[in-house]
Amino acid sequence: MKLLGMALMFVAVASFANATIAVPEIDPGSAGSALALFSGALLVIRASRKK
Amino acid sequence: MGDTELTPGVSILNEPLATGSVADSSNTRRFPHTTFSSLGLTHRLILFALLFAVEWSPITHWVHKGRGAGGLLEIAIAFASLMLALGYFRSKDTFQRISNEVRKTPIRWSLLALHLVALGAFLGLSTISSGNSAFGYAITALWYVTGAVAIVLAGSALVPPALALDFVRSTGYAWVYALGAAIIAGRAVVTSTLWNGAVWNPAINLSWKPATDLTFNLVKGLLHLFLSQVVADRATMTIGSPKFSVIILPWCAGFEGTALMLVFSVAWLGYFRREFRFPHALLLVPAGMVVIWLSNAVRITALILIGVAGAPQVAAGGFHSQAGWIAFNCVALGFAVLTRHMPWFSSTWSSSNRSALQAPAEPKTVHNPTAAYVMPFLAILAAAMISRAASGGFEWLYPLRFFAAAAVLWFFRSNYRELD
Repeated sequence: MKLLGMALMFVAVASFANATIAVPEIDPGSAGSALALFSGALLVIRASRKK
Repeated sequence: MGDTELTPGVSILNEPLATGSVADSSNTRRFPHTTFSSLGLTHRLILFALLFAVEWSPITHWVHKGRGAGGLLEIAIAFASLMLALGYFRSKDTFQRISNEVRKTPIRWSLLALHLVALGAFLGLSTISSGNSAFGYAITALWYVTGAVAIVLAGSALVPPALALDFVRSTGYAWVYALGAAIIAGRAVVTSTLWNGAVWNPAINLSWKPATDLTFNLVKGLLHLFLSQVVADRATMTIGSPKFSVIILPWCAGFEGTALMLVFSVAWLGYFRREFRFPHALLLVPAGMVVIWLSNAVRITALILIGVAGAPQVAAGGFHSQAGWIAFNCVALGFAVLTRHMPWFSSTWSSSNRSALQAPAEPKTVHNPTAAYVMPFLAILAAAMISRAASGGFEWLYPLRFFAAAAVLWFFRSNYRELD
């Protein structure tokens, strides 16, 4: 779990390297950090569910 | 202003018109110790996907786009995903056995190093222009080979090829179905003839017109709630006010968010199927898609209102690029939280509620060590999204990240005191 968390963080950080200006509805340049935020929030939600 | 060059999606016509209680110390040690060598097949596949994402994001602009590898890669990804799904559902025991064997196999770092070398060669060959000469064909062939070798080496480093072949063999002829479906899906996405004879191309085609019209009408209705004078030209899909207006292009009609929501809701219901009542829960899929569709209309309305309010750069810049993800995260997380509290959909809500009612009242303490570890990082990410969404160039709210992280650290300070 810790390992996946670290990997998630690297993905989020890597998204900053992807500098794009053109953006449709869902911006691919922000996908890394947005999905990392989403996955992390799901982890917290599921963790609270198990208690 | 051109409607697609700078900001495809919603284009600016004229910018002018152009739980925190104390956790006991045992909570901090509740996670099993996980090392690289103890990762099973699923975790290694996730690592492979993450590695791909980390490497691909920064280099995507340098990779040669004119050699037709994009379509092949899409087919390969669809094929691999289908193979895994079919293989898992066909023989869960075999999947588990192979996963256990993978767990005993260490990651081969030498192959990962070779993968980086191959990736470097692939990138280098991307910079060489190839024409119709023999040299050009050789470069293109070498480019394909290095790309394929880079992917195979990364996969082999994480999952031994012998075990991967074992898995494929155990699935019988599933690879035929998976390959066929992947090719059909790959071709269907590029071109498929519709009932009216038009060719469907997701990026440019007018076949999206009904969907775009629906979004247009929604935005128009919402704008009338806030603006006394609304400019709405259906022919050009221009909407806004005389001061600021945008064009609603086909690919910002809401399909991207809806497709993401479809994938998420189906995956969520499938993975946590024991917690839902079927077939009731199947209604949650279209419900989620409708909500994300509506949120896209709200996003466009908010974008126009921000521009009308005097911040066209914020509207066209940060808000335009971030609002879609913010909306998706809010809707999808709302889906995950709310659906488990709906007795008509949730199979666990009623039982847990009943037991809570029957149980004697106890002091309510919340122990969620995951939140204590993860929330500071999430706070930084969320603050960054908000900060970017509120910027039109320079990020004036950049320090928001610091304050968000500091606030979360303060909130969980009791948990951190328990750490060694």
